[in-house]
Amino acid sequence: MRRLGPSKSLVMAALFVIVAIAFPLVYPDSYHRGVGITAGAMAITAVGVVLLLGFAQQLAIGQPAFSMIGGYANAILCARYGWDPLAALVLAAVVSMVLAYAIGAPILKLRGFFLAMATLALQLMLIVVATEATAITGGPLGVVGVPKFGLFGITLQSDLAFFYLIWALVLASVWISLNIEHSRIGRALRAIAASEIAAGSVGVDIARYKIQMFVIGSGMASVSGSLLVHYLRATDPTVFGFDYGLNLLTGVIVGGLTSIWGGGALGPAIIVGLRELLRDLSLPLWEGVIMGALTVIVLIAFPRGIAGAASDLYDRLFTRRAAVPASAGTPDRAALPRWTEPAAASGGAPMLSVEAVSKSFGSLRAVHDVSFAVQPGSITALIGPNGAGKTTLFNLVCGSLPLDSGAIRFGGQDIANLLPTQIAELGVGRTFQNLQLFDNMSVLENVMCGGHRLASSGILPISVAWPSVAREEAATRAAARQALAFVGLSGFEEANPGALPFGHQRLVEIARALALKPTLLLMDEPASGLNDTETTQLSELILHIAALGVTVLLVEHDMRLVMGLADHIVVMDHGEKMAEGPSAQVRADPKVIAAYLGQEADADAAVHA
Amino acid sequence: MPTPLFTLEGVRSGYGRTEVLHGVSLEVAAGEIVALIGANGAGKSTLLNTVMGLVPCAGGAIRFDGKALTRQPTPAIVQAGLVQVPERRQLFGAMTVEENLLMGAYTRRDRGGIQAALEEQFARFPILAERRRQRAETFSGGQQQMLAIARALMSKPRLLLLDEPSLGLAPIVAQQILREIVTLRDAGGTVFVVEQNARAALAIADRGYVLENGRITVSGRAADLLSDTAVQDAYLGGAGGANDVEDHIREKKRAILGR
Repeated sequence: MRRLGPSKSLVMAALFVIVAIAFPLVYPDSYHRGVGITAGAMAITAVGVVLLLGFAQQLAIGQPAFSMIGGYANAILCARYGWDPLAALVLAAVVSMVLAYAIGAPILKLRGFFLAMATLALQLMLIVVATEATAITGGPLGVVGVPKFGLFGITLQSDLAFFYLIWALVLASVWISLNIEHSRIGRALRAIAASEIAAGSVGVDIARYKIQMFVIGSGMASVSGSLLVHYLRATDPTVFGFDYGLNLLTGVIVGGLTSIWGGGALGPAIIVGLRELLRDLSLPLWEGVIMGALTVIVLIAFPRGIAGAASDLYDRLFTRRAAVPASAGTPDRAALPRWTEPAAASGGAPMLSVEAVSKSFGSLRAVHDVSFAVQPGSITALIGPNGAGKTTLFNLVCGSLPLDSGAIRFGGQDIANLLPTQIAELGVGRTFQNLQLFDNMSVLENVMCGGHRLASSGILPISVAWPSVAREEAATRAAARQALAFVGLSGFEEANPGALPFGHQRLVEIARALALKPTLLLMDEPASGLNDTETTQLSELILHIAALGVTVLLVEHDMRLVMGLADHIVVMDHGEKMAEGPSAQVRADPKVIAAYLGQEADADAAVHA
Repeated sequence: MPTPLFTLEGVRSGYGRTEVLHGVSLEVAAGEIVALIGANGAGKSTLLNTVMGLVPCAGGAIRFDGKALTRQPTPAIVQAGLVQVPERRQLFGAMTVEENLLMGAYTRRDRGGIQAALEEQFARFPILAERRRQRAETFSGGQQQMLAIARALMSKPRLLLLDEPSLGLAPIVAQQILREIVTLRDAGGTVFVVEQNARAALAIADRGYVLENGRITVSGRAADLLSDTAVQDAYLGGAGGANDVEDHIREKKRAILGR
């Protein structure tokens, strides 16, 4: 794709600054400034919601709980004990983030509605505490007499100054979040949203990033709550109630759930502004009805929110989509530098050894006492009838399933009880039978996700755009381009993977697995759904991968690929190992013929017999 | 050739503004197996979904037994006698074999006929009778494919549309499924099969069509397509027998890995 206009982020930033500076000047009265301050406070929370709900698609919706912690901490400490507002704000933010870290690990294991209920329950608990712990919180009447906000002992007397401070903080939150979005962590979050199993397969520590976003979002919500209370000069249990949470979510969704600018800054401004407009009409009955109807209409007309619609319009006006190169026949394959040590360096020890492994599901013995070894640098195939336990065994090796008994060693290390992420971290790549591409990213970004384990920038340097982050990102991008060129997909970098033909999608997955520079590559039915010509091309690619010194273990039904490629074949039947050996030996084995190959390897002979 | 039972005339369809099929015409006569082959992304599944009304038909005509099916809702198309066995089976995993089969007879109202159809499927695939109370998700790929076909046959279709029946199946099971398709044809059934495994599909088919970038480029007797050099190069991995693919790979292995 070729951009004709300036980048969207630049346009958004410019618009944001102009509107934020101009608004209080165009509407100099205190009512409009108050509306602006309320919207800005909500926007700070909303930016955090986009990180967790928009990017990682984790339905954590109780964020106002943390606004409440910030709000009450500031109200109590400043009104009763004369604390400096900034000190109270920072302390409340730290407390909120520590609390989020502590509860994040257990509750972020929940999914979908359960996570939503858990976070709402947290908010409900805090509302109950605020209402009942009268001695501390003032009960239903709340805390009054909160001073105006101040910085370093200087009180911000004018609402104008406070307005600019709040929107400067919105901009700072947006900046941090954009840095995260365009980093390896942002990709990891979108990977988690698209396919947790594939995210794990490239070494993305799923729990870690969910918790990080939860902590950052909680910090933002807490700061937002602190600031709002200083504007309101009071707080009570209804300020951050379920209404507030609902408005917040509506704003994020209307603005654009996956857009920091849209869902974070624009949405809350629209929702708060709209509520005030409707309040002016003084039709209390119709307020809720109109809000609801407008929300539904926007969602149906623009499923990606206002930001999504604006982005599409911008693309239509300023972006020319370069035709995706039509590639047919043998793709041009670029060389890839070797990253593995020569097989001889291992001293003859197997790369992978499966030792007396068993796994049952209830009374079903899926895998029973299976042992085999994969030699370094070899191509090993696992074959057997449907239901023989190949996929189960494959999942045991990848760490997707726990073992019942036995051991699995990779380069001598026991990996039996490691998580898929940890196994990927060790340098085990995998591809999936039913493709698991990240459909919310470009082809290049998909492959860049494969390089996740080779980069190390953490959340802090990424949040503040430390220079080393950009250098590392450029290296990841260059490596991903190389991997794409190696599988013959140069020129497809910006394409949406879902728009590519199936065979190409499979190549993207292989490139993604190669980007993590694996020493062992696990392929689950790589030729499934390919025709003979594509199968031949795939076989050639697998050979080039093996030529790089990468050890390959594949599960496959296409016997021509298996017999042509494999150095060693393991045959399973009814959960047990039935035979193993080189192709000539396995193919002549009467047991294998009876259970799996059939009398004739060729279907037409079988049918016309 | 006798009057065709099923015809497509200049059918166009796609998703959103992207047209996938650019005017596809083909026909299927009663009692024959017709195979549609083509590369991934050529539009094979789109074609089946368009026939079944799952993807809106943007132009052209789909006719079955003289009646126009174009723009009919899916249930009406099933009522007319067409049934699709979807790619990757799409069984009701949490339901038993018997429940899955009864779902296949959803459009039928004749209790006796349904019972007879059930017994017919159990006779066709004895493994299904043995496991009639077992949940479908516990089945292996081959058993699931048998169940998917049996479920489709429950509505007594006059045309069976199969999408990738051999996908992900062990060779011996794929052979069994393909043999079953021939048996159906020999009993008077009509089958339209879409297959990635072009060689296997053409081996059992009477006639075949090649779909390329949303257009039919080659059609003819299946045996002629199997020996057509252009078709061989594009879809069958080169001229000659099936062992050529394996030999070709073996040769490449020697060249690239030296073993």
